[in-house]
Amino acid sequence: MSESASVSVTVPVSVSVTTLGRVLAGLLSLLAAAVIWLPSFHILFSDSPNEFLSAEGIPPKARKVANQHLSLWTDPVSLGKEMGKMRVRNAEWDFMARCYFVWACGNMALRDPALKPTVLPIMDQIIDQTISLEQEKGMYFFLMPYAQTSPFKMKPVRSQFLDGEIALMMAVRRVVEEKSAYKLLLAERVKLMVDRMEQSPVLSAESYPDECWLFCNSVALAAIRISDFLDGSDHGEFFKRWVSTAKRKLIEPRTGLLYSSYNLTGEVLMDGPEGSSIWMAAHCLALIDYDFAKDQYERGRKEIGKSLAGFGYCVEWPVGCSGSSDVDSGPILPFIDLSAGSTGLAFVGAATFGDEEFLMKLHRSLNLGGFPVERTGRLKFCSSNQVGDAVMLYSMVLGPIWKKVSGK
Amino acid sequence: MTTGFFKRIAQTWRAPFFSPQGFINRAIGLTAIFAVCHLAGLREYTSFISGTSPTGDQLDTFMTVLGCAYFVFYSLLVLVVPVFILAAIIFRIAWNFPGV
Repeated sequence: MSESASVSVTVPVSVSVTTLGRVLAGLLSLLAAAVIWLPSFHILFSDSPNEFLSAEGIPPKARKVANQHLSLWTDPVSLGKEMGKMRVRNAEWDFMARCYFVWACGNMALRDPALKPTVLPIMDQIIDQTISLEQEKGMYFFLMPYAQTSPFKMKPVRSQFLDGEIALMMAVRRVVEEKSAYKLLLAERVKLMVDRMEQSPVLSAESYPDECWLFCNSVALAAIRISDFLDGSDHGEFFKRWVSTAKRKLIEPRTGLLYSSYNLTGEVLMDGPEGSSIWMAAHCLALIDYDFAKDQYERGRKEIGKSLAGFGYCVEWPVGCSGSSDVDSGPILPFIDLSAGSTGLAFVGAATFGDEEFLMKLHRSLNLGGFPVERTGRLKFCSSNQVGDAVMLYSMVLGPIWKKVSGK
Repeated sequence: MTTGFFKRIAQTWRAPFFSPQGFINRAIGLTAIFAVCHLAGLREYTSFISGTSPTGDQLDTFMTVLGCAYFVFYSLLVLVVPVFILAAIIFRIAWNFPGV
């Protein structure tokens, strides 16, 4: 009796001790493995900086993304399919994909003049087609539906979103090579933009009814600046007033970053600083006031740029200025608040201001979470779309147009 | 002999979670599921990450779910599978280490 009792006690204790030891050893092994792997796995996704960055010529990664776009723009069926995927969600993306690609083509043509015969006809095709669509279907074709829910305040009714980006497309085209047909069209659009901006106390024109966007107005400023370079006009005094007005009325006090959207009078500040606006705004403002633009970039980098385990990403809103996820921010990744829109445009900001360290980290994130697919020398990012890929391309080739215009 | 082989495979597969073989089994399982997702072409559907419809039909939630599945198993492949493999190696070394 006593012998059997001894066995019944000893065996379970022995088993449970063994199991407990194994579980503890297993947990410690997992912990040690995680401590080794998680801080170091970014190495697998690192590109050599030469892949995406070069002072001259076109970096290999950019060339592959460009090949994908060039093949799409010569294949109307595939292009229509890709644009259709975006238009069901946001008609703006259809428009912006065109603009970013044209801006990228302009820079590529300056980087590699042998590409001119290839890219100039495509730039012209995109610009002409975009202007035709705007004329035939109206500006609402490229705007989100809420543009029609209330009346625009400014007359004539126009959207700075379209005017600025179309003007910048024509301006970039003309920097690469003069095209007389665009000279008058650009001058008309520049006059319209400046006249409308002058009507507002904050020197900003509306993109949507009673909504002025920093993104659109800074793109417009860049287009006006390039038209000065091309046509010998001088809006220097206007640029100075714009910057000084922005510093006085459009700066969020805690972060020192520009607000993303505001009403026509600048009295109602609608959206605080946003990653989906500030990076591109800083890029465009670099043509107007480099020091101010660089300060905005550095503040954005501090407030919105993040690093985790060797990967770079951006949140959409700085602490204390939170908003809600929308088409600009893209979906927000839980726990780390990564915004696809903000992170994508951060490539443009980092490339403009030569922030190689952050750019390297951003490219790691792109290789990790962009789901790249490379086939026959063409590269696309499955988690992105045409506009996202065009922004990536632009970030890898930008520079020559700004350099030529600013002379720096 | 064939029966013995499959029996051994089955025994190996039933290894406890907290064991080197258990970790390797999980790594193999996750890799296999990811491989199926990848070969099925689900990578294309990850456009949901940028808020873009994978097919052009905004109501096509099924494709979005497939894209999410790819994203989840890709994340597991990149983040968890190597940890399981490293943990199995560490476990094996530690288990045979005197005093552990």
